[in-house]
Amino acid sequence: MKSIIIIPAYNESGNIEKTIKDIKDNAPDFDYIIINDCSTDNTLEICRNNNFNYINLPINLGIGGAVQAGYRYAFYHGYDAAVQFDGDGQHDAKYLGKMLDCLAETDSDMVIGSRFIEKEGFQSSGIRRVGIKYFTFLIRLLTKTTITDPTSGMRIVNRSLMKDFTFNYPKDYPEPESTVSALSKGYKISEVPVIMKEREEGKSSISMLNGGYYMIKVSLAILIARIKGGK
Amino acid sequence: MSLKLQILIITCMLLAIVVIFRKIGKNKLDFKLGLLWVVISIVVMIFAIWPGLLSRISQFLGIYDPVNMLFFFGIILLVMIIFALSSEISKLKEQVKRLSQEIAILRKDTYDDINKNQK
Repeated sequence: MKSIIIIPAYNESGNIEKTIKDIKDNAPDFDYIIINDCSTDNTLEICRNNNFNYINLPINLGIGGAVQAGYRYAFYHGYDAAVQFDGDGQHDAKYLGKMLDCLAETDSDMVIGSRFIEKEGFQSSGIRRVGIKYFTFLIRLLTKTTITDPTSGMRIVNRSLMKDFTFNYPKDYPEPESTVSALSKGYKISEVPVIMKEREEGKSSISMLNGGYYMIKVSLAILIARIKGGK
Repeated sequence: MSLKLQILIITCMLLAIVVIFRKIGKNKLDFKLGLLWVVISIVVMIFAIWPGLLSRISQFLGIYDPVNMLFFFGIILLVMIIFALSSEISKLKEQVKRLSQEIAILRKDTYDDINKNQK
C-alpha cells in the first residue's frame, strides 16, 4: 500500500528535525509531507536546509486547513493510505506500521492511535482527560461506537475516507468532529494502543482560555455532523 | 405584548435557528458567526416569552421606556456585529491579495520551468 505521513507544522522549528528523523528511522516504508502552515519562525528554512519534503502554505489555515491540505496532496498523488502525525514530537513513528497493518487486517477506513486503551505513556493533563472522556461518552451516545481517544491526532485513513476529508474537513478542533462525521456516513473506525510523549518545545494550540468555547463548539459540531451524516 | 405577537416571534426565532444550523451543516455558514445569530435568536425568544424581563431591566438601568432600551441595545449590538464583519472582510482581502501574488509568481516560475526544459 502506497502510504504517506502528513505532518502539519506551525512554528515547530525546535521539533521538526527530530520528528523527521524519527520517521526516517522507524517508518521507512512511508513517504512523508510536511505542511508548513505559514510559520512565523524559521520552520521553513529548516525544511529547506535539510531538503525535507514539504508544502508551504501561503496563508495560515490552522490545523484543520493544514491537515486537509495534506489529505488533498495525498489524494492527488494517488496514495492508498494517509497518516496524520504531529510535528511536535509527541507521536512515535514506530507505531505507524502497526496502524497500517490494522487498517488492512480489520478492513477499517480509519485507525486511531489511542493513548487510553493501555493507558501508558503521556496521558495528557487532568482537565483534558475529563474533556476527552466527555467526548467519548457523547460520541458513543450519538453513534453507538466507543472511541477511546477522539482527540488523538495520530490517525490513518484509507483512500476512500481520504477523498471525503479532501472535500470536507473542519477548520478547527477537527478530530472529534471528523470522527463523528465519518461514523455517521458509515465508515469503519478501529483503534490501536499507542504511547505518546509530552511536548518538548513550543506551544500547543489549545489552551485553558479557549477550553470552554472548545467544549461547546465541538459538542455542537458533533451534533450537527451526526444529523447531517444520518441523511 | 399580545399572545399572538409572542407566538409569532417565538415561531420565527425557532425557524431561524433551524435554518442557521442547516446552513452550518452545509458549510454555507461559518460556525462562529452562525452561533452568534443563534444566541441572538435565543435572546429574542426569551424576551418574547417573558416580556416582563424587558421592563425590569430598563427600570434597573433607569430608562423610562422599555422600548427605547430595546432599540438602544439592539442598535449597539448591530453596530458591534457590523464592526466584527468589517474586520473579517479586511482579513479576507489581505488573504486574497496574498494568494493572488502567490499564484502569479507560481505561474511565472512554472512558465520559466517549461521554457527551460524545452530549450
